[in-house]
Amino acid sequence: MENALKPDTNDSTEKKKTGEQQMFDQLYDQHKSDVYHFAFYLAKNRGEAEDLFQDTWLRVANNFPKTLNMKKVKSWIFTITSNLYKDSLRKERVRKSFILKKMRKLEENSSSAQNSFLTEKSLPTDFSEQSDLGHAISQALAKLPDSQRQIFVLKEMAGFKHSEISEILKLPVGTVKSVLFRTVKRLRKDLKAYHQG
Amino acid sequence: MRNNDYQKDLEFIRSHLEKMEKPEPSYNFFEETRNLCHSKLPSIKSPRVPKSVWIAFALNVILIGLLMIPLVKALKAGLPLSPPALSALILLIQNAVMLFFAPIILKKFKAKQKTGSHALVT
Repeated sequence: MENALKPDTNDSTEKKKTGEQQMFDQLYDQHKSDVYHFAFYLAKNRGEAEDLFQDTWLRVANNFPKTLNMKKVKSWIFTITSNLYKDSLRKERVRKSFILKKMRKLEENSSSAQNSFLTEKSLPTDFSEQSDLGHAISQALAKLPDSQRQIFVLKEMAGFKHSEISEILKLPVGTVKSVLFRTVKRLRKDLKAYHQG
Repeated sequence: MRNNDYQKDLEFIRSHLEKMEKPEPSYNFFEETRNLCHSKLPSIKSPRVPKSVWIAFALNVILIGLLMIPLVKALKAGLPLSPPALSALILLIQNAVMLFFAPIILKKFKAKQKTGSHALVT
């Protein structure tokens, strides 16, 4: 579902756009929703997803108009999103490692340390506004490890082929297929448990 | 058998995906991002003509003007064109044709190169 344009967007504003802006808009409008959904399922919350989305498109804009001569622009854009997410994970690990060290030092000095906020797999809060079935699948997706969730979202929501996913995530095609197989099995199991529970 | 199970599982999951509301960003976020990106786009301005080119062009026009004088006189007097005057006329026509058609040919060549790419056609 696309975000509607502001109602007061008028023709004169459109006419003032340069050729590059119009070409960029064509690319942006074609892929923005898919990229946002991918960023959201990677980041698991709206704030981080929006940062990831914006950083992705700023990179695309910086490389304009080279993108016009690319054959697989959509794959390239998703590769940027995936790489930016990996970078953010790396920084987050470093930050958490630093905080953990600090906490351990504090623990040595105090007996009432609380580590609960540092759980590695905290469930997202942004998945709450859903129908029951939608909520079930959202929860199940959130529980998946990053690699499984990325591959699943790229295949089932962004519509990429196995070979394209393999290029985006720099994994062998065989790995993509086997991870997807395991992911489907796991999701099926989680959803079955949800329906029975 | 394994494939059938897998397909059934996939269909089951897809039925849930259809019911799932796609996440939406904050109000006006898409437009804000678009505007931010527009400010980062490199602006491809048409190149300014260097001064030296303007000077050469002016000298060329003056030269042509000077060559035109005997030609115009001969035409006015109804006299046949002398070989130098004829050469000057041919040169003039050739330059005019080149000046007129060169940008068109260049534009068509660049358009042909661009239609060979598939960037915006997915």
